[in-house]
Amino acid sequence: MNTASSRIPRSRPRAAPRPARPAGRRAPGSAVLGRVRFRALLWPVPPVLVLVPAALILVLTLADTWGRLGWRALDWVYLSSQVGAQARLPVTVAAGAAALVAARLVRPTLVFAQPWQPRTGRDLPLRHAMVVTGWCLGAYLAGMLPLTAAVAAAGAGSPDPVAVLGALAGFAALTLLGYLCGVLARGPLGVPVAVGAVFLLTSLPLVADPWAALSLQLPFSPFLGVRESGPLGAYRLGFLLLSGVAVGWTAVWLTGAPRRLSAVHGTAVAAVAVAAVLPHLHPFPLVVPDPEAAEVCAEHAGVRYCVHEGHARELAAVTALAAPVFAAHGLAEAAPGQVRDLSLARGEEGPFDGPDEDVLWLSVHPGWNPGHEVPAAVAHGLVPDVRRCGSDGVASREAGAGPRERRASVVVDLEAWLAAQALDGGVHGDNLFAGAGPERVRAWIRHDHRRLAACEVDPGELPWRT
Amino acid sequence: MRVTAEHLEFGYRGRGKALGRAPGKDRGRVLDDLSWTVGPGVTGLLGPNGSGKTTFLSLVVTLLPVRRGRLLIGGHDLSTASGRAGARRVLGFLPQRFTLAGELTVADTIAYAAWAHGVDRRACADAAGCAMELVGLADLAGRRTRTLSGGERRRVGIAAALAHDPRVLVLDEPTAGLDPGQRLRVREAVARLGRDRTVLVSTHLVEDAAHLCDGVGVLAGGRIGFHGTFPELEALTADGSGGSASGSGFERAYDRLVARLGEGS
Repeated sequence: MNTASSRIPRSRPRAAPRPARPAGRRAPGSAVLGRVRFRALLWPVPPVLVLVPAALILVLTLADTWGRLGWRALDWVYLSSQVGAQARLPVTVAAGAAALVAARLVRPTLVFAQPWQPRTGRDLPLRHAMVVTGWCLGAYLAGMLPLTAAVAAAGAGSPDPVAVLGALAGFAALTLLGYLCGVLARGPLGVPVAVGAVFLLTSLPLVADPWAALSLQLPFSPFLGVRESGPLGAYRLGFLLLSGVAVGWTAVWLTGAPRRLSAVHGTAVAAVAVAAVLPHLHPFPLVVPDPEAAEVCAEHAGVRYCVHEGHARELAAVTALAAPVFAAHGLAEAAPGQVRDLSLARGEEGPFDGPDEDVLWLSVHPGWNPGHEVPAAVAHGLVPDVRRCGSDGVASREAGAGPRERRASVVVDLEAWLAAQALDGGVHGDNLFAGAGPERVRAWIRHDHRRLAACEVDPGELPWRT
Repeated sequence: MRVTAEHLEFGYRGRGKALGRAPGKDRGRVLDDLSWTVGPGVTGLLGPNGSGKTTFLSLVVTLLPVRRGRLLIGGHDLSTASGRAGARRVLGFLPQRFTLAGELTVADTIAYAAWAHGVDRRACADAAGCAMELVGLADLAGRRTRTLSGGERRRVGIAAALAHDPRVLVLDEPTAGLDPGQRLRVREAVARLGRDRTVLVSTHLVEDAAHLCDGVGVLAGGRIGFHGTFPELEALTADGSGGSASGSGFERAYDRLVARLGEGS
């Protein structure tokens, strides 16, 4: 044997130079091995185990966000919260992929993952986790890019970096949890376990508010006018970073040998457990009003219309769609002095503090449809609450319906008729106000507005139906 | 580079094997005051089932902690964390039972093994190429490992253990379960490897050891009962039956030695 030619590059801690090779001679199989050099970003994970889930994540994210690209009133606060909310399914895929990588490539019987090998107890699991997390997170962020561009084009509000970082830390931590499941299971069973566990953990905020401090998202999507509360965002970020480190460290510990439990392990477990319990004992507020909100206003026919400055583009639509409803109602004293964007509501005011006769609050939110929502909200504000009729909210003119239900139907049909006046004025043929001219309705409202407000008008009393 | 054990002891707490001669407080002890030095070349480690061969190899490759006595790989003392870390960089190990990821090619498998052993990522492909050449796998570089025969898989395992050019190579039953042709190929590959490194081969096949090894150690009763060459083993246990320098002769000598060691303990 030619010893010189059979020598293998010696193991060096880092950055070993290429081994010397006799001139004009290439190692057999080098054509195949050459492909390895092009896989630097995947190394040492087989491409299929990373690229397939990454592609799936990209498709899932795009599919979920594509319909929102044309939404009105997109803003940065909404996008910041969506980074976590949209991640539910992608992070489940990422966790499953990480579990599969661990199951396939970290079994201690594998010739390249034996517990005693220098890189197994640290570099190998970290590199696996980094490659899988990096590709999956990268695919997710790529999938979020179109929505981000749409929000940037709208330019409303400002991003919430803590919420975004919390979501990204959560994505990484949950992917690592999937990897840990794979390491523990040492087989394909780790994949469904990881998928189930991560899906459960990401669903918990939808079950109870305190879990929002421990998972990816809030139980709702905040938008312009409020922000995720600072303590909540900071706690979530800290918890998820701590969890990610603890989970990653455990996976590393499990792949190495010999393994010895130490006080540090107990401390880490206790720290994560305590951190998971605290928000349940002292729940954080989920959102707080944005103190920097400025308003943009316009006045039309005696009504002042104000929206958040980030919704300035919506002001014309609000005015154009609300004014015909007020005009159709006709009674000046019934119209509020202001129509205000709910994004302008603060702790000491707003619809949450009881009815305000002079202000009609209107929710301008991402994805809203002003053509439907503005007339409906204004009309709803102009008619009495149907519960005043004493029918428990039931409105009916069916045979056998009681007088309360019949009176409630007047309120409900008037609301629908008023809303329709902002558009083409058309209502369903069964509507009590169908066929009645606007002037005649206005006159009736002027005449009977007190009885209407008290829900005392029976459908048979409407002048055009007698 | 030498492997040196000095007064090495090891036992499994609460379970595991017990030495037949060590009841009571020694229950569970597998290695008992074992001292042995393995030098360059191919050295065989023989012993009956349960004699502690796998335990000794597990200590050598740092899978188990050294609690009593000393175990040195070159200058690396395995009772310390830094010593284990240093030793791992110069060790190669083929366990008796190992698995391959079926979806990977032979070249990828060995390249990943090289990386796991500490070779820089950019040098892994070349390292794998050289290791494949050494064990005669160059033609199979692009094959998925799931399509390999038993002997080819064993040689992939050896190449994976070699990929970082270890100074000390530990092979646990490298020919177990192979047909005669495959055994021959593996033996040839191992023999080549022993020319410029220390190779420790654990096997229960005396014939293989006789063909492969420059020296042999026989583990019985938790310690090395014999260390020397096969002719020395044969001479030591000669009973006048005229056994020749063949595999069967060495097997008889080995059997007599093991029986003698068993009586002594």
